[in-house]
Amino acid sequence: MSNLTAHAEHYDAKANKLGMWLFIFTEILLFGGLFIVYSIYRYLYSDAFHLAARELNLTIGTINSIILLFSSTTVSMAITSLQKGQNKLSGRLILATIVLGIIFLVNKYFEWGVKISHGLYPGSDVLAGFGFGDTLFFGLYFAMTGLHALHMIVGIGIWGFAYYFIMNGQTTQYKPSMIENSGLYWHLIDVIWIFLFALFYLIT
Amino acid sequence: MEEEKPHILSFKSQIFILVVLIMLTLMAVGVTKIDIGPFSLAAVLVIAAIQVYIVIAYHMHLKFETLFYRIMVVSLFILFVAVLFVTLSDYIFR
Repeated sequence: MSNLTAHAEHYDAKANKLGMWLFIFTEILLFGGLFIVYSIYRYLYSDAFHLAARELNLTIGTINSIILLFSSTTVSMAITSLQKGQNKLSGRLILATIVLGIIFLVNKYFEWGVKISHGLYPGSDVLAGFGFGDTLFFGLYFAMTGLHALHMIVGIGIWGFAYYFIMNGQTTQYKPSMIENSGLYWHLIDVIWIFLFALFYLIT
Repeated sequence: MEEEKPHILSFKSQIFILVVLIMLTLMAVGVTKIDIGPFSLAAVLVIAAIQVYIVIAYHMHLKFETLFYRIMVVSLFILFVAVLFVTLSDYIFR
């Protein structure tokens, strides 16, 4: 008997959730630091930031915001359907989330591609000619949206695992921690994007 | 550990939340199109803050968590705002 309990899988939903939230706090502080850097340089080089922000494509930014809001909804719906025991529906909603995440990244690819083809990338001669403020703006733009995109790539991978775990019955309505925590991570990405969108695309 | 009853958010309310969030996004874009000078910055930040509140409260379920989580999240934001304030005031008043 003692052998059996030793091998039984330990599942503690409360501890799983607490651990995830602590990780999310470190993520918020990571991006928070970058937002503080952005705020200070925006204050110091307000004219250059003002002009540089106009270079960004508001239409693509808005579309990407809406895509991410949709994906957050599919995530929440996937969790709801799993809690109701509708595993198949939950799996489909996770696949929808993955597709939405990939569409976001494809948009980002084209957006970055246009900037880079115009010579607006860190270390380019074009930016060096514009001055220090523009260099900082585009440096921060690429670093922050890049770090965000990296989180999305990781998130898409996590959804791949979540889909697999739901389909093979490891994640169920009685053991939903995996998908709930993946959901928390994905919503965090959404929260960060809302601020990135406001600071880079909206404030000109 | 005692069993926690999960709070289940219905599809209907999730669609409602999505519609509200999209409308707020479009509102923020609309605000930048009209010229209200320095208020445009404040308006954009306020709308972003409302959106983030909705996402954290409903999507991240914070509204249905125990007080412990709410205190933790609020403390984190206070810490962030304090660091931002101290750093910015250092640059502005130095």
